[in-house]
Amino acid sequence: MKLPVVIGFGNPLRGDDGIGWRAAELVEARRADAEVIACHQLTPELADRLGDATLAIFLDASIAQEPGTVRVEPLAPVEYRGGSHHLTPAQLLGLAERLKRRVCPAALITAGAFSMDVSERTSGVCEPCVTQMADIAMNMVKQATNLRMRSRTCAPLSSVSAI
Amino acid sequence: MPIHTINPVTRIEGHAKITIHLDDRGEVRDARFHVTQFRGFEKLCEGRPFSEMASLMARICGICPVSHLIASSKACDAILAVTIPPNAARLRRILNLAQVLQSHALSLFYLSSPDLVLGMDAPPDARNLFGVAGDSPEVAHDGVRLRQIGQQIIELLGGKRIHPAWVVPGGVSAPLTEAKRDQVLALLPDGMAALERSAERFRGLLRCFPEEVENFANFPSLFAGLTDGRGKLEFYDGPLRIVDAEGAVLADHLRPEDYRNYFCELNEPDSFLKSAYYGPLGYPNGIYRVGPLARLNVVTACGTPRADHELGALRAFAGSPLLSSFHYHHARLVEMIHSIERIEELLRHPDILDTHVRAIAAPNCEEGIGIAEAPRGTLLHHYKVDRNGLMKWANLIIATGQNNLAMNQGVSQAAKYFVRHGELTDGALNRIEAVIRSFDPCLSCSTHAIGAMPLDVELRGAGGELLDRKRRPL
Repeated sequence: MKLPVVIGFGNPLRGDDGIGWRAAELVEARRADAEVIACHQLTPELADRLGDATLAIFLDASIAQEPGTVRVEPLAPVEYRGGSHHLTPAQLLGLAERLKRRVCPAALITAGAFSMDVSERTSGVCEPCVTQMADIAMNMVKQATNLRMRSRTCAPLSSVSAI
Repeated sequence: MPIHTINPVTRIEGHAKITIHLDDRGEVRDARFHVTQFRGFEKLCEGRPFSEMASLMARICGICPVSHLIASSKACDAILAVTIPPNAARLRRILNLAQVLQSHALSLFYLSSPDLVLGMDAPPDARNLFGVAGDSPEVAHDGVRLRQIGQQIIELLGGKRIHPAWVVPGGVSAPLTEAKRDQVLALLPDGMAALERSAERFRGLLRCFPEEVENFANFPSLFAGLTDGRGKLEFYDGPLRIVDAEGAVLADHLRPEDYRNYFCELNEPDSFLKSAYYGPLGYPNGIYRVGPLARLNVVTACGTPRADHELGALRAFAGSPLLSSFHYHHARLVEMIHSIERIEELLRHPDILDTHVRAIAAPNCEEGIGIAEAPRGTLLHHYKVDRNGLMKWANLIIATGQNNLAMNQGVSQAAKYFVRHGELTDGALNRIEAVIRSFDPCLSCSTHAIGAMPLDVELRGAGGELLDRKRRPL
């Protein structure tokens, strides 16, 4: 059965860089009706999982937004030609589209990082973001599941809201 | 004499450069392969409890950590002076074979298929997995799927895909459950289907490179690898065999304890990678190769039907023994097929769910040696501990170092053929790099100290002019 995929990525030994990882673990602990993956980085093998998913949700830290804030944005696959050492979510979606000739709706949920020093903990500033990201992801998964049960088709992202 | 440099060498694991040395007429006089990174695990493990070694040594590499887990744990088994339970050996074998599957998939599909599918002269920005996915999505898809299957098996058995902590001194830390066994079994048909499609594709594709076959490290050498004692393929445990370029057995049933008689090492002045040679023949006559090509040369057969069928096809095309390193690619396919067949055999063993998977003991020996076949070739860990089990000394013989002499000879051969009249075309440079790719080196695994490392420091001004230079010789 095809399910949503939630992918939280980052380094859990580098403080807030591990926010995405921890948020994914929280989603898994809450037994979301989704495949949940916590990983250090986005690798080409994930493209195979995305190709079969009804919805893809990426969870990550960001240095491009105010620390302690959470942002949600829809994602579209991008055409990319280059090395696979540092893939972005959009590039991974592009690879999935090429391999599986199918695109699933996707979103990126990011939390602004405060500190990425060596640490196994999220900073105090960003700790609330872990729960917030997990709540948003859970809500999106729930809506996608409800839509699937009603229509038995892929959930278009426009009908899945973050809140 | 002019020297041209390829820096970095691309689509390999680790950091290296190649220098091409021209003579007065502008023709290639020599080419050298230089590894420019250093890891030093032989030194940094000193003082640590031996029980940490498996997990510590796994961190040498993110692609083949299981290989180090296995070799390290076997060395620790010897320090404990235990024979591990039979089912622990079966489970370690399955993990090792899954590692071979995912690592070979990375090498063939991610790193080398851009050259094989798109051509050695394809534009550089297309020569990557994304380029293959655009041109031949089914090739890329099968490669991604095979790597994923190998990693999933490692995760199901070991708890995580990279650096699983499951393999420990004395065995493994937990038995296999029925549910996980069935999950792994369910992955195998998909993997075998991907391999059969890939074998059909690559059989034809690999025949389109006659110049590369002729000039990619194509020369006589010795070959080394483990066997199962009956001349069949073996990755986890077995006697070491060495054959010559005619396929004649030079030495057989070699014991790991005697490795210093046959595996000799030396430092190179221009690389952090040690070279190895077969001691009885000395340097450089004792040049030998390890890894998929070598393993298929030291055995008479793989021992599983589909792999043997594919091995037959390879030998029918390339002859036996295989001398050109270009055939490493097809050899990897054969080993991937064998890995899936063997994993299934082991999972269907009636005792695979046996819960006795660890022998418990305190240190009983102050020295231990562990040997196994990593995806890239024979791997050996040798430890010495004190009475409390703290590490005093470690020596690692890594596959990539054992191939160093052959890699250097290979880039020189390729450079002399493909670089004509001093003209460096992009295709020629890519082919020289592709020689190294065919060996699938793991440079992060292979650079550890045996003493003072060579050092060459240049001080340059803002305009790039050389102001001073200091060298520390070996």
